[in-house]
Amino acid sequence: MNETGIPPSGRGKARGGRLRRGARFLIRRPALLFGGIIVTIFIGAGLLAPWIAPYPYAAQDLASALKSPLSPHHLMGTDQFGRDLFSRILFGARTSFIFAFGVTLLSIVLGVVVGGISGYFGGAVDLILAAVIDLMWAFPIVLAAVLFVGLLGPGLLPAALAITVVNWAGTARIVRGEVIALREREFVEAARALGRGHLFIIFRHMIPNALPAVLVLASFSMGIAILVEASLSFIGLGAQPPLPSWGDLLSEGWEYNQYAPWLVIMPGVSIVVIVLGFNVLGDALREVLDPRLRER
Amino acid sequence: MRRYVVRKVAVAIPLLFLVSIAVFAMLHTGQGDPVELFVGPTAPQSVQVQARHELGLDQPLVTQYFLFLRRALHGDFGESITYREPVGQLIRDRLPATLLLGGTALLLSYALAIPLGILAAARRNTWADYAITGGALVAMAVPSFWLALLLVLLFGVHWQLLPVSGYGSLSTLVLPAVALAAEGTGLSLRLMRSSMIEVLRQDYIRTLHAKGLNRWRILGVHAFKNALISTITLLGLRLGMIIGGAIVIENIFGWPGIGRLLVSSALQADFPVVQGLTLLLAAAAIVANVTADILYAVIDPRVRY
Repeated sequence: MNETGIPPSGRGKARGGRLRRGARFLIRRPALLFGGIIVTIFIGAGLLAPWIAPYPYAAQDLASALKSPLSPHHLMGTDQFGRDLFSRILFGARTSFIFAFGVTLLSIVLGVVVGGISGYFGGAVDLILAAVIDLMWAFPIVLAAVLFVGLLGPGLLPAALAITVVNWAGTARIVRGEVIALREREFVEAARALGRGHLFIIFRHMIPNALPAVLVLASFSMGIAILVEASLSFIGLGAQPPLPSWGDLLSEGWEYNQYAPWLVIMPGVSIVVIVLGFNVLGDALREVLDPRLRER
Repeated sequence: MRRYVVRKVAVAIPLLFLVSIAVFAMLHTGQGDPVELFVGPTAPQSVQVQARHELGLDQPLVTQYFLFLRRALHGDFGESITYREPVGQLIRDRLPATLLLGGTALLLSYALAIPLGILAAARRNTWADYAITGGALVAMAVPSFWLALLLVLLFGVHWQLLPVSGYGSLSTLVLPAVALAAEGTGLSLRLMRSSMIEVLRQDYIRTLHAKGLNRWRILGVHAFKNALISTITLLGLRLGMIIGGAIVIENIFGWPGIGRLLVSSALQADFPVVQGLTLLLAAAAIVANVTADILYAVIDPRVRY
């Protein structure tokens, strides 16, 4: 259509132009498309699981036990109790998504607030907070999970707390860096001269500049949260039965690995595909947003 | 530099205290009477009263905490409920196994990540690069415990090549070490690659080329320096990943280390062991982090704000 890159005029043409430009934008970036599709499928599967799953999570059918994948009524086969694996994976996706989303949201909010305050005010506050951020950033999540499980008993809440307590530091680092970079700019001085409060400046002017990088980190964060939740549920410290979880599916399926290897392979592959999707999406987002981040 | 170090350590100490408080609180968070844990719920009243006194559980919480802290600093974490042995002894018995596993995994990981990262950077945007980078991406998405299960299925059950549990010979070390190493290798590889690309783009590299220096020598010298820097950058994170990963991997392979001890104790509510191990491992992680940060500041003076 309009190969010169000049935006077309007129409302009708503009809408068509935008659609085509959007499509071209995506097709030139297969990574973004790939990651985006997988993530969308994951979110859709997770949210719609109760409606699209062919069987309930715990529905047993001993007559159909240990059926292999691509059986007539069971897309991914069944386990030793005849429970449909595909449905269970869908419900596991639901738990994973809600859990990962909540944890990521919380750690981002925390990270943005602390990073913003630390970077903006500088001085002693920043010195201390920056050191705390550096320490927490690399703390082993599984260990933090054991700590919280010791305090609260096993479950998703201690797991969520453990991930949040470590993850927020990653966001805080980015936001802090961005705020420090913007601190000396003229528009900050201008805003102060206009009488704007500190917090207003931080949240209205500086944080929006950090958001692209935070979004990239959020994508990776989702992947990490899903992996950690699966690991913890696998060893029994995370999601407790009967709460659906991929980690739980793997630990139960492992017992029958000789007779029904698909019970181990399918949930694992699901985890890999979804986390890969988030990682690829994060990478692609970083490439898309990066030129705008750095003003070369 | 001194101020940097002092600040790092000064922040680490309160964090350690915080962890110690959380660890101490494990026993007292209302999940049942702690005395019952030690003597069993069916013990007669007199035994319970005596145990309560011996364990110091009849004293105010704050006093209990400081007693706990003082004992901890002397390495005394009490006696395991399950094993009836001093916790310190249990840990000492199992620590070498974990160190062996973790150390081997870390070496394996870097032995793979550094050369492949350099190769990918040197052959940037070729098929080799895409294959390596793609592999690293996938590797970062694979849960380490699932990889462990697959390795067991493939090498242990199907092909019967390697043992899947046990301890003592080199062959028992292979599968657990590989599974443990996998988790962070992708990350290290990508950092190695991106930092190499960053360096190779510099003008002084082109100058060296123009002066006629051998391509491989340029690569080698600068690769080495970069390997060092990027290794240390992620060292704190990698060590944390190893500690966390060992907890899960040891469980799967029955590796007799502190990771397996931690999980089994956590599942059996053997609090003295959980307390001692968690505090120890957290301290180790924090110390590793601070050390890695300081090391990084030694190498890159720009960091010492």
